[in-house]
Amino acid sequence: MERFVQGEERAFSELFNRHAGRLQAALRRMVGPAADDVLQTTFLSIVRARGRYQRGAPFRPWLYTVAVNAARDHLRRNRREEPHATDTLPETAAEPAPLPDPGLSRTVETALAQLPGPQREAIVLHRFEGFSFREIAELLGVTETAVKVRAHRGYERLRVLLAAEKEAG
Amino acid sequence: MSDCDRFLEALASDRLDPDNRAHARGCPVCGPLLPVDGSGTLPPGPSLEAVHARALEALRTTPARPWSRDAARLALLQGAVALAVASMLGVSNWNSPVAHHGALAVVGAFLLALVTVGSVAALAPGHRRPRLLLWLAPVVPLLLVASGSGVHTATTLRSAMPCLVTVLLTAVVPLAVGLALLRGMALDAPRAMALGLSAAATGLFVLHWHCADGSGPHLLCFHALPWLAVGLLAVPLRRALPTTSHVP
Repeated sequence: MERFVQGEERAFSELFNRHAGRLQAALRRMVGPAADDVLQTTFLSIVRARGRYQRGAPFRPWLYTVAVNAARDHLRRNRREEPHATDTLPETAAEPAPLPDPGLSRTVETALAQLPGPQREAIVLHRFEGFSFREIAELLGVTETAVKVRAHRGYERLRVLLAAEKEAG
Repeated sequence: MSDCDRFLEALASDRLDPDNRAHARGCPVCGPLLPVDGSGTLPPGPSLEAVHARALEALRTTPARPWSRDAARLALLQGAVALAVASMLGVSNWNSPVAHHGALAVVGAFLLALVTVGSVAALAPGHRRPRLLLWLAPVVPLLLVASGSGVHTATTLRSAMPCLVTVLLTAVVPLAVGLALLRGMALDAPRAMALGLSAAATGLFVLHWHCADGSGPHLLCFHALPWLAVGLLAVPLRRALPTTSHVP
């Protein structure tokens, strides 16, 4: 990370190769087909403002903080431009990232797309990206309790949606 | 409580034990909710090549810019504006709304710290420091009123308005420069408000040496209120500006 802050291209490429694929999948779950645009914005952000990186801080949570901020900005601008757009994604929007059972993952992705933004963020970061609630709280700049409430509500809603999908199937 | 409810409780409190996991693996509804290991990597696909190339191009053309340099420049600018306005109001025209010399020095030092350290805290990386600055929002009016001399000289609205105008006008340049800098970081309402409060403290500092009215209502309505108003106004102003980087 230090070498990247100094402007070393190889160091940046290493970070990119390590994190970009996974981050792209996370962003697909957050913003659907705009994931590539938001990913571009995320990496341009960290390149332009690398002087704001705090020495010694772990890179991955920092990268995800920037990505969540970029995703929120994208959703906010979209809402402003399209008065009828909602915070939730259309069912066809999310292109699922590879998971062990494709049928199962599609169901989860569809249910996830129906959650409100803050709940979706908490679940994507917890369920799919493996961050702890404390890490998510740090990453989003909110309290751990707030993250737990969002995740709990999100998981509860997901479970209802998944049960309904199972019954329908 | 069913096994599914127990699993959900454990999941939402980040305390999944082997029993919960075993239940989830065999349950068609809870199974998809079981967290996956987030440490793995996915290989970059073809669509990522363009993203990579553009980011590399930006890396070549954009030098690293330490945030502390911007913060120091803003602090210096606010100090310069304070001195310039103080000079314009007349160096021989010293007056203070504060009762005692000790209080005069303490409140003056506090306001100067708010102007300089405040702008640094408002631009600092992370979420915590800008929020810490917001704790001063109720402290400043209390401090101004508590240290006031109680002498009421600005008896008409016309004689009191220059204080309000001074707070607003001295905030314009530091706030504009600060907002331009805030475009280079993620939209964060507490940060914008902290910047507004720091910018408006420039005017409070100037008035601290030039206003003769030390009455509580005057200090609250014509010093503290416009200070808070600038802090609040900074939030919609920042929201209206585009963001060039989403780094916290």
